[in-house]
Amino acid sequence: MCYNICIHIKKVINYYKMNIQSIISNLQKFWNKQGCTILQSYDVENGAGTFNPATFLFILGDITPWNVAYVEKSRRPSDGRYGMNPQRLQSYYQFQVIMKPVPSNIQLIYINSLKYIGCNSEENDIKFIEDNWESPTLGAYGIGWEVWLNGTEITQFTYFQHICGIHLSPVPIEITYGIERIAMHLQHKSNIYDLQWSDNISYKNLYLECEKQWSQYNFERSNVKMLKQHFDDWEQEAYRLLSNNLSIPAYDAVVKCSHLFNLLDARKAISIAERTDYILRVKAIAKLVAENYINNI
Amino acid sequence: MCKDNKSLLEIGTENLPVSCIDLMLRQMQHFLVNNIQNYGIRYNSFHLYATARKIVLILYSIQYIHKTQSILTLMGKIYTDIINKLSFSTKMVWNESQFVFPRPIRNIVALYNNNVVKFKIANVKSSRYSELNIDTKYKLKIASPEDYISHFRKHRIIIDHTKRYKVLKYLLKNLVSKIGGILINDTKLINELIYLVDYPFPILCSFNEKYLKLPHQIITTCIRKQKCFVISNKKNSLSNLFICVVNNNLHRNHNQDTIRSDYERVIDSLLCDAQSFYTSDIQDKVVIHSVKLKNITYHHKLGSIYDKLNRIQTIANFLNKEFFHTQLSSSLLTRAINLSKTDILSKIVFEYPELQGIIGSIYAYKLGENSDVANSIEQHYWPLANSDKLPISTIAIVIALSDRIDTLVTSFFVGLGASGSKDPYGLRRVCIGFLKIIKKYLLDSNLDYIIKKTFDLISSYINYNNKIAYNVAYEKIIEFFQHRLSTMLVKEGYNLKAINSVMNNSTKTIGEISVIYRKLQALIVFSKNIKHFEYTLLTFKRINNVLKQADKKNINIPEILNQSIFVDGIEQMLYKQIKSFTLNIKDYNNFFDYLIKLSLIINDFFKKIIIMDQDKARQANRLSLLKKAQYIFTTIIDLSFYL
Repeated sequence: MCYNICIHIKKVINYYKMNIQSIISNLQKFWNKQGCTILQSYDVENGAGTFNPATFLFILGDITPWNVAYVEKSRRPSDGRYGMNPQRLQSYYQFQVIMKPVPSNIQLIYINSLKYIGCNSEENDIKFIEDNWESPTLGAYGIGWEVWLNGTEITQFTYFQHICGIHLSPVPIEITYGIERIAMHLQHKSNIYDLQWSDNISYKNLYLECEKQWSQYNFERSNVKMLKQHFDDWEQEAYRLLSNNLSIPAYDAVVKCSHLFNLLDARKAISIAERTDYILRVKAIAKLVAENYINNI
Repeated sequence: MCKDNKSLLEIGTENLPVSCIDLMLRQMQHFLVNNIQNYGIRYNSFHLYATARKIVLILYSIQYIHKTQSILTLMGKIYTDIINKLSFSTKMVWNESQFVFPRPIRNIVALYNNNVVKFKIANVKSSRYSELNIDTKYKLKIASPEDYISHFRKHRIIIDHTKRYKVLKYLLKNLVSKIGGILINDTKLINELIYLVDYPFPILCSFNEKYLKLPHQIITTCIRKQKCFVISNKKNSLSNLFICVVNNNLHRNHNQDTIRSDYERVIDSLLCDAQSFYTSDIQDKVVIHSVKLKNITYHHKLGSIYDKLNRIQTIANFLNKEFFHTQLSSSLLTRAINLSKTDILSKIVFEYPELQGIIGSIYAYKLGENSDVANSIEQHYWPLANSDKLPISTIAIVIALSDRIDTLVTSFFVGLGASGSKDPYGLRRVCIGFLKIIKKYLLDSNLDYIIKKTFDLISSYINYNNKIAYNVAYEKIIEFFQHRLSTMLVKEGYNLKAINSVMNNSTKTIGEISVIYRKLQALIVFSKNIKHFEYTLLTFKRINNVLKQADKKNINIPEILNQSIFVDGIEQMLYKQIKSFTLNIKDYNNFFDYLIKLSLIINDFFKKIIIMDQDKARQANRLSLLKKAQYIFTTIIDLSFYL
């Protein structure tokens, strides 16, 4: 009896504590204690925390140690489901950690971060499953795992090896949490829109209408002609900026191209052959940007 | 001193990929069997164990033979070499040591009896402390090698992977029999899970029964994707139960509910998605729209998948006419070919590519297609990797053959062939599949003819008009087939010498597979009669030697014999025996009888006659006889491979 009440109280406390905004603030607090500087989300639309210059450009740079953490709004136009799927979104939040060099007990630190937000490894099934990450448009690759919490992938855990063919030394680690998925576990919710962002505001309040409208835009209404034109324009702009050794603004142009490609892809506006071609175009500029950045800092 | 010396090495890593672990154990075993004696030590036995985070080696009864340095120094060197010699395809660096391994090495335990074997690798120093769990700082002190396993057992970690396998199998069986179900066996999943948990603990979960209306292959695929086991009920239909496997630690019994409901939530979401894909595919009648395949590139030099279907159609018509006596109605065949790849367009296959073919058949049935047509969509992909199931209906057989030979021939046309260890387009498997079907259904047909004919049919599609490149590509593909056929025969248990003898690879022809098998069987029977076999080989060797000598002396050996200068009756006899030789052989056992007779005569011939006669004409005549005999030893079945 007493035991049951304890569990109940614990659940109430968890629920009360772990709305999405407290998951974020607790992760920030935790990683700050590990020596990470807390940064902010980037202001150019992108597909993952990796695209934030704090990862892509700065791990190429010579600031060592480079330990940072930040939230990134990540856009995946093809993953939209008009708000109908209980788990899939065209835009969601990642919590990203970069540490360079990598502490030798990094897995334990990560496990402790989960404990810190209420996912105790002794009470849950946590598995590290081989997953070697690759971003075709960035020409980046790394070795690592996806981390499963009771069957759901909640984190991508990657030792970066190359960015645009550039060998990284020291090797950085990238830890990317899927915030909503962790929240679903902590809040015992089977539908993403039932999550609480704060005690007063739910995910549904914030994003259900967004998902509906963006899905419509991504799949049906985006202006293909304009997107293709923008892609060409930003590609050209990137080359022009590079010829002036402005690698950082040129990098923004690459991120824009990458997102424009994703939009075209979601709209099924490019054939398979063209698709490869677009990917290679983004990859080519990204490589030049990375090289230019290294040579000029 | 009669002490039983033991040593222990534990490579403590971050979680290793399952595929790496098997490879690592095999390489270490190889090292122990083949290399360790070079260090001047011997051992009686060894054990290799693995968990996701530990590779463990224990050596028993070590004897140190050449005492040139202290045993601890030597063991350190051996351990360093063992680790350094491991090699992998996926690898990484993680710290300034730039050491390369599949995942970071974080801890090393190395003991010789009670002593620490000191060495350093990848900036990690060996010690007697082992990591207990991924989620604790606490380290386990290992006093000596014999304590190792039992120490971990106390903490609910089974170090021995074979034992984890048995435990998991036992627990699964128990759990399933308790609920009166049947576990759908999945050895691959068991083998994976034993490296994802240290002490397996299965939990029974369920999903909403409404999803049982979905094709069972879809449900199974969704559940296996989450590394869970599927259960059927006694009537052999799928149940709405499944099993996830987690780590059995001390707290587990209290918290099954959270884990179960989380797993159930994931499966529910996958099934929900799958159901909406399925419904939408059925509504769109996706499987009958083969024209849409024009938009899907097969290869930029070879056009779209739709183009491939056209080529398949041409080849299939040829095979149907020449090998199946046009027993297939051309309208059914065409329909089946048109539908064979359309499920690529479906949402289910986009999400679960492994369902390609299976789902096509299901959709075709649903839409009321002829059952042979519907079946052929799935069956034309058979045999799948690691399966011996071959296509059954004639339609499926014809499409399976046409699809594969198109893939092979076109790949060689545009230069995508496999070489060395690389086979990015999986052509080897495609070819083996082709040969297996031929073996089952077209054993007696001439493979060269099939290849040549499809080669010509296809070349008209891809505008291939360079004659030289055409010949090069044709030779390459024949060679490729020969190699695959050899591999297949080796896998069937035939010995390589015998295979090489019957295949006549140098001729760039293959002929009928049935002939190859008949030759092989006769050769094997013959080679088991050791007395006759060796006698024949000896004779063959003598002929070769004599002819080699003649060659050295630049003696010209005429093609045509002159019977009028035969001196001895044995010459006439040999001549008669050679003349009675025919290439047209039905029973190869008779051929070997012939060969023994020939050998007897030749030996007699050697006894009674001096080959290198003073008379140049006679000499040439006798050499010519031997040359003709040599030809007999090498053309039908080339016995040179046994010399």
